[in-house]
Amino acid sequence: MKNVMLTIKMLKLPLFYLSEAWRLLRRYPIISVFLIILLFFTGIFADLIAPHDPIKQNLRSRNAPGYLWDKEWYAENPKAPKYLLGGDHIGRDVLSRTIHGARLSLITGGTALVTGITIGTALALIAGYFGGHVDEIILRFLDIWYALPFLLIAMVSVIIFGASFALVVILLALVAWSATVRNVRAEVLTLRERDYVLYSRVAGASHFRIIMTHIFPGVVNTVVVIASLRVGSLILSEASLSFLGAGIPSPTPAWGLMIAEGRAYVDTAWWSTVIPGVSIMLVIISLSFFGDWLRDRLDPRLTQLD
Amino acid sequence: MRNFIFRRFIYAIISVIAATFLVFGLSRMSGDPRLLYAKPGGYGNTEEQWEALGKKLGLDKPFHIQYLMYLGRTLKGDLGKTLLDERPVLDLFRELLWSTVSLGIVSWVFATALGIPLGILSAVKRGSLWDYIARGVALLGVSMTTFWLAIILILVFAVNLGWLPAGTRGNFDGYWWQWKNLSYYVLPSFTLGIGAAAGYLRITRSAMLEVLDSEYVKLARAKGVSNNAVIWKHAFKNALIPPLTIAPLLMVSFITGVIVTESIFAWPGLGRIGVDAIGNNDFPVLTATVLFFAIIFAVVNFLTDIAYAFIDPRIRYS
Repeated sequence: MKNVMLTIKMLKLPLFYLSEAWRLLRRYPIISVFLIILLFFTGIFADLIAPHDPIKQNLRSRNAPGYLWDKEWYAENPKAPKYLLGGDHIGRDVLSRTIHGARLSLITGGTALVTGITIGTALALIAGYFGGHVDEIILRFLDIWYALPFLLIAMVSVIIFGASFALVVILLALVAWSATVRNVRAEVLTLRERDYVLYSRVAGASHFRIIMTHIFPGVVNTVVVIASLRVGSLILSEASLSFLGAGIPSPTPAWGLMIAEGRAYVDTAWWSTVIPGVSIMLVIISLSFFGDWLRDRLDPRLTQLD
Repeated sequence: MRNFIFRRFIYAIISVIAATFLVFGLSRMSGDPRLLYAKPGGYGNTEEQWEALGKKLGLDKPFHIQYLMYLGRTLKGDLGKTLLDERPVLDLFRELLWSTVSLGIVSWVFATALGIPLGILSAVKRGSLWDYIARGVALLGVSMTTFWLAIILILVFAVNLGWLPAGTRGNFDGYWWQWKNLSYYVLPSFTLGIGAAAGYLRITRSAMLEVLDSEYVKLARAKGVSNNAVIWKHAFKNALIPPLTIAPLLMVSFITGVIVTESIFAWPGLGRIGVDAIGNNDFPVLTATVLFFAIIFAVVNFLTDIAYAFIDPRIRYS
């Protein structure tokens, strides 16, 4: 009898570990964080990791299949460089382009996010703290801003100013700023009624000082959560712009651009669209899980946000 | 209440004007539209002809006059002529309007029919198979970019399986409900609708969960009201407010989505001619397109505000 119990226990042990691992995975965004770290890692060390030059063309490797799944092709074409995930329509290495694309997404998404969120938070602080006409003007401006068909305006600007990295970042920042204003402003409205703000004013502190030392720290959590939830949609917007040819100009490896370029060959060379597409998807899913988790931890009241 | 509606109406109009102003300004910065016809002095064009053309297009007047002239003409229903082949823009719009609007309606119906019931189901039967399906759809809708999803759908259903047409709207003759016409709508409206469906789903689910946890639902249950009556009579109505409020936000993604979707599926609609107009520097078409999308958005926003005020009396008095 004792033996039977022991065997059952022995059998249960790995099950226990499995369920424990499953519980951890559900509780913490481990996979997402791992993928996000991977994204940062590949982005930062893109030059070291990428096996080939991302913009170097090779006529032999036009739409070449990946070395990973089609070794025969490489046996027949020994002079073609070994592209692990295949070549695109003008013979560039899809893997290297995807790796460099990660860097580009990081830089554009990150810069735009920081600029946009900073502007948005500053406006929210001003609107919420001063109230009255200032508040009204900022809110109405926000309403109008929401009503603009962004993509068309972005494309017009690209035609006028020419496609460039700076323009893409500016356009994305223009998308990002509006996200924070409403929620942060609501937060500021409650914070400014607190007694410590009143005492601080009685003690003669300037408005700027009150905003920076007493109000801003109170909204940091909200800002961080919104930023983490927004970064995914920024990366998507960047990809959409690149896809429509209004993003970062051509030889630079951007994921949206890779999809656009590979589109015509998708039935013969699926890898040049599917690989950047899956990359975008994984990044967005990871960011969304991570953002949700962060929100639940830092600011559960924001659950209504998405 | 009347005051509220009036104020909202004014904002809607200001939004539309701001949108046209921005695009009109930007498009005037993009270069002389006369260059589309001829380069200055080229092709045997005399200086006088060049100036005459400028006069005809109103380019000799200062910017704000041009803008006001444009506004006045628009109010009279004259959207100008396309620069490319001198067709009235209004005719072009009449031709393509229904194509875009019908695509929007089909996608909208799809998104609502998928998102709201699935959201309620997943909240009511939390942790069940339906809940997991719902979360899967939500994740798919959030993470799939419009263009990437479209390409995969075309590859699978049009190229490999051959079940559905890969693009365009077909000839569209006979009755609208015939499969030969409807089949063209399946892929584009799925592409366009899935993001909105995911948005509806998430918001309905969280709203429903919140309402089911509220005191009055608990009271109703304690009184012995049947489960169905609790869900449909007490919870459902109140859970519909949040999905209603995000409708205009989803509309934004619809407008962005329709531009991309129409470009990929070669759909003869307003989004696509907007993109083409940018390439052709054809700004009567471009401003008209932006005006159209801005108006649609303003109308939806306005109606949502009003519906919201009717449903939730607290809004009216704040």
